[in-house]
Amino acid sequence: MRAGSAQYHRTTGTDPGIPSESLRSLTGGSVLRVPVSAHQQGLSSTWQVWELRRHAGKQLSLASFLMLLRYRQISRSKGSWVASMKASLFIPCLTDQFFPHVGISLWKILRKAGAEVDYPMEQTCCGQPAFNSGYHMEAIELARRFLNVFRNSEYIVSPSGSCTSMVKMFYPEILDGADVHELLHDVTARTYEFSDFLVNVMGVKDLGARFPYRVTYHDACHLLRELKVKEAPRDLMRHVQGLELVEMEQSESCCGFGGTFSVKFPDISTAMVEDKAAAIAKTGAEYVVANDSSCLMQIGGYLSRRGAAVKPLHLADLLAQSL
Amino acid sequence: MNLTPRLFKSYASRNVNNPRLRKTFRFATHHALEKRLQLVQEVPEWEALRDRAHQIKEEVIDHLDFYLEGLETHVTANGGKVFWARDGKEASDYIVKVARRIRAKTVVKSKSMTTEEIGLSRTLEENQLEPVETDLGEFIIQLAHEWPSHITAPALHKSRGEVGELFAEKLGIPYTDVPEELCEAARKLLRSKFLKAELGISGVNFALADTGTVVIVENEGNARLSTTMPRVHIAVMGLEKVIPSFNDLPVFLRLLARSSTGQKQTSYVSLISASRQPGELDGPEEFHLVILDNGRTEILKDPRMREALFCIRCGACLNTCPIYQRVGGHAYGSVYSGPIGAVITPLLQGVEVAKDLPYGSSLCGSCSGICPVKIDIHHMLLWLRQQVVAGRHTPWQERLAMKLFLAGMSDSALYRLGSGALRLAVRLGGAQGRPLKVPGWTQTRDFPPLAERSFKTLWKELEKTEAGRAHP
Repeated sequence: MRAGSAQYHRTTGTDPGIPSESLRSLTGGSVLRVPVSAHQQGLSSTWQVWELRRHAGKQLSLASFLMLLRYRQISRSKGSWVASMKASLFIPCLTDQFFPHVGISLWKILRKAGAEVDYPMEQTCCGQPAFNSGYHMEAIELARRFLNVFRNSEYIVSPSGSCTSMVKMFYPEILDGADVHELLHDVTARTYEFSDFLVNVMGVKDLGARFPYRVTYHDACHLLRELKVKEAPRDLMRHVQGLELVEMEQSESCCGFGGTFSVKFPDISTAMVEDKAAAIAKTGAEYVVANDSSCLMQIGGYLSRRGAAVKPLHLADLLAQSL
Repeated sequence: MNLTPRLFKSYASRNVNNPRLRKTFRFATHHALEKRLQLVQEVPEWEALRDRAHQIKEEVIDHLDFYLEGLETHVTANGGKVFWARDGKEASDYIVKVARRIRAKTVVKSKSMTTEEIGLSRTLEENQLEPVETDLGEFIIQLAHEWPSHITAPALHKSRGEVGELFAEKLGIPYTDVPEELCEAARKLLRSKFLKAELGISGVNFALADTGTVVIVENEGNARLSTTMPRVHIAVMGLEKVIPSFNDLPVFLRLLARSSTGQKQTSYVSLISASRQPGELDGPEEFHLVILDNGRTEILKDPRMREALFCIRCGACLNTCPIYQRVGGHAYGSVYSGPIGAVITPLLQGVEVAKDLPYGSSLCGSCSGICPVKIDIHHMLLWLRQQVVAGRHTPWQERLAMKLFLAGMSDSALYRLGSGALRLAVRLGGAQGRPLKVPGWTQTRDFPPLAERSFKTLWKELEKTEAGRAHP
């Protein structure tokens, strides 16, 4: 390390490495998205792709950088290649029971974008309700189940940032040291929230949708801070004909849902959505859009109780309006 | 209010329904966040600084024995005395012993969360000593017999009107709510205490292992007075406050001031390496450093919780937390409030005592996003919830519900059966298409109706029509 302090630094540390964000910016944000079909072009298994992604996230070696550039070209040059993408719908239990139209919309969108869509009927719940309440044993069982249900899927696409981050961010935490290491990384690497998938994997921003209304967008916490997806939904909305996007104040602050938090601490949860509703009202928007049915349930539930005119709308529903 | 995290739920619920308190906290936290953001944007290497700070802390906490011994060696070589305190009682007893030996009566204290943690002032009072808090915020809450509502701004919950009333009552001055006049009144009283005090007690922001220096940051000059005027200075630090070297200090100073008060640098940064040396004109005759464990080595044992010891007590996570902003610090029932308090308190006092704290979060992650040393606060809250469950501190109804949930979700046939039964029940109950009633939810918000057909059902129908289209 630095001279003079060697004695008190036991090991020789390194200077701050290149943060993964800068890697993203180097290649226009899509550097870490390696299409699975790229295996045929050189990488033999998804496992290796995952490894590549993992290393790329940490430090940028010239070799991995060049490889990534190569895949980027492949995905760009072969228009027909995109059409052969297979996406499995991962429909969270809340969506299944309360907002099935969001799932249908997602199916329409993905098909329109040129993906082959299926829905593994065996799926139930990703386990997040148990995990967030501290019941890790229960969550682990459901996580294992999820991995098996989706093990043969090429891509796993969900209309929820929250459930996607359960799979991508929290499965590795709870299954750490378990016997499913390879399957875990294989499946989690192929799981995407749908706006992220459309924009950053399929490279599709314009779905030909029309929606002549003023809308404002709420950044769902998990999508934003776990998955770091902020621009993709906005990109998609910018390509919708007639849509006017008005940003609300503090679009990044939580709506107050937080799973069981919303019923364990109803006073605080309501105080939070109260402020969110005020920020929405200020924009004069006719619709408040988000990528998570749970946030929309919270915001919408409060708005409707207050008799507010602004309506909650899932981005998938918005994009599928004219399909 | 009592200082116990057991009552978090009721405190929080009471505070969130107190409009004045909510306004105070909203204003103060938003103001601090704005100032912070402005200054952080001026530092292009901010993220690299955070990474660096995290690395340094990781190195220190993983090899705490090495750095603490280095610290002790250097403090001792500089002529100071190091006392290792296993808990708050040992620390307090040692301080009282020193005070007795030097026949101290008045003890001036500068702001220190560690001494708040061990309730030092109370122990001093019980031993016929007169502890005087000299930080204005701490002075206010000492007069009011309260505990800090914020890590860096202890009297955040008090409006200036309330401070005026408090001063009028306790100090016998005419009522005023002009900050300058209130400040003047406190200053006058504190000056006399500084002149009288035989013992000065301070906290420690950073302790440098390579030089034996303690670093104290502050804005009022009271810490400098407390550490230089009295004959004896005792600094109290949690054992996680050590950093390897003087060279690491700038990383933390830059992060700390910006994160906590939105300043480039605090008005005073004191580096104290020893007591008065031969030939020097001022400074205390004796310097003692109390290194406190008080449960910290227990945290060290748990690799998942270790990061809690990285905290530099800047208070940024409190400011950004949507829960803290609405319930304030006192709701947490602990001197450490906000997201980091919800991590530290259960770790120091036991999850059974503070089992509601980890659940008092919407897991939005804004705390982890702002933390200058990149502590993964909200993920740690999730692991603490797991400890609460593992310790069987959740109600049996909830445990049963989770078992049923798991059973229903483990088998898709059972899941579909349940989903059908639910719809049948709703139809029989005549509630079809109507919002459901959910306790805790429906008092303030509508709950959506159960969809007539689930996605699974819709998908099956869709598959049929699609198949029909493909093979007419």
